[in-house]
Amino acid sequence: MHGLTAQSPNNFQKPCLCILALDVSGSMAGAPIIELNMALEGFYQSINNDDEAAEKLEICLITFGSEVKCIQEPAKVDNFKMPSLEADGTTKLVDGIRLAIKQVELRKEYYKKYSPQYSRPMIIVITDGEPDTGQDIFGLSEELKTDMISKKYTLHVIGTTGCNYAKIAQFCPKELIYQLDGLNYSRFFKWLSKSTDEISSGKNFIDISGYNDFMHQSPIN
Amino acid sequence: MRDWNYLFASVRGKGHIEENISCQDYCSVFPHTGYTICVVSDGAGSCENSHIGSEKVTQFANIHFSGLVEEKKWNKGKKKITLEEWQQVSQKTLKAVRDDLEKISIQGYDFKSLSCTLIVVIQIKNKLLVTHIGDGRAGYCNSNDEWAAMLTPYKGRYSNETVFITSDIWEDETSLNKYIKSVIVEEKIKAFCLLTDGCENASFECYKLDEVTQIPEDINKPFKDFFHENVNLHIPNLIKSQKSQEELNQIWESFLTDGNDTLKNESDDKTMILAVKVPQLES
Repeated sequence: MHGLTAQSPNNFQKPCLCILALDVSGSMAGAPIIELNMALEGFYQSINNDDEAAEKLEICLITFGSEVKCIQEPAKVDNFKMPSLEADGTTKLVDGIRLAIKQVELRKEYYKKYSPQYSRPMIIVITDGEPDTGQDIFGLSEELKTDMISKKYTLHVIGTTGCNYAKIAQFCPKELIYQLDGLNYSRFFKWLSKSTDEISSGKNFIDISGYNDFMHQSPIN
Repeated sequence: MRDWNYLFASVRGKGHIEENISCQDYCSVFPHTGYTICVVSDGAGSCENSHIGSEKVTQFANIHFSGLVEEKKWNKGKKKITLEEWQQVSQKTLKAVRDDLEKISIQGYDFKSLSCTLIVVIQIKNKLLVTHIGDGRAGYCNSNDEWAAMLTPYKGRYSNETVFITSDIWEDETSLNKYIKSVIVEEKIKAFCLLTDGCENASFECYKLDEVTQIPEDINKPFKDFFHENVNLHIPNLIKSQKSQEELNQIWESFLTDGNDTLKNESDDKTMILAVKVPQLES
């Protein structure tokens, strides 16, 4: 380096919120929920082992089955342990996404008070089914359209075996719906842990390298 | 200007290397008679031709700002440059750069796909004339070894959001004054730097958590420990060893690539021009 040397300051890392809205309905029981739990733990470890990611990434976990719950409020990985999910009940998918949007709003209020800048929050939905009947799909569709235009957050839906993509497309833009190959949750979360900057910048998955090793755009595209 | 030496380079960030994307930053130093123009530009990550945009605006900035200096005869030192005048003419000159960029979009590029930021520093006599659109940082070191910023980056709501030369900011004076900031530094200086935001985490104190309130503060100050030894020891040694400009830039490129862990791990493209005064020994 011809003698050139430099120390760098310890700058505050701008926070980046990643909300995982996860389907824990009965159809996820067995191998799917086991794989998903293992993948979430792997995701947690990847973030924990990456100093920069650990300092800026805030994870929020929402589950939807017969009930919708925020099982982990937004927090950095050193402030929580990854919970283990259990599958049961129906699929309150629309309510799950609505709760994710609510969490985005709450956290943005907090950032506006306490952070000079923050990354665009991201919502990632994983489901193997379709929303319960009677859920407000049309209302959610309108809400997502408005929010996408104003760049309130990024949203992607990942479907696995059994997912009704046509139903998902009734509220989510088709280009944001993906199909996971088999139960490749681990590979997805490994890729996600390295791609949060790009997703938060507004890139669709297809514009981020490596995505097609384990998932594809949904069959309705 | 023979006492002044410039190290400048643009290198790809880790993210662009992994994705095999070309560097979207560009920079150059243009020596003229009696003054030097330094330009850095950061192509917008989401715009497919921003690497072309950043290169072109760097060249156009040199053309238009050198034209301005010579028209005003600032390089002859005959007329005092006031801040008010500099603010006014720098906006007009940046508009001319923007219009030239729009002309090349006729060659088949969508204008917005050329989006990039721009920082211009004209070093003239004992002054630095600074103007910029967007983010990035610039700072200087005075003869007491005190470093200070010489621009405030424009940051949008989200990180990585800023304004570009292609943005719709040219319609009215309020907008121009909001997005284009120009300053004059008139101190005895021994070094100055201008950089894209890919270098800011390594070389600037940007935001620091207040230990008591735990609320981040906007510091915007060159980090002395990044620059001090290089400016006072290592770069003077390189200059004294008679390195060519090309060799200096290669050394600088290598330093920006992996000079320390922060530089090495940066995912964004990195550009920095560092100007250092190294008094020449009389022969």
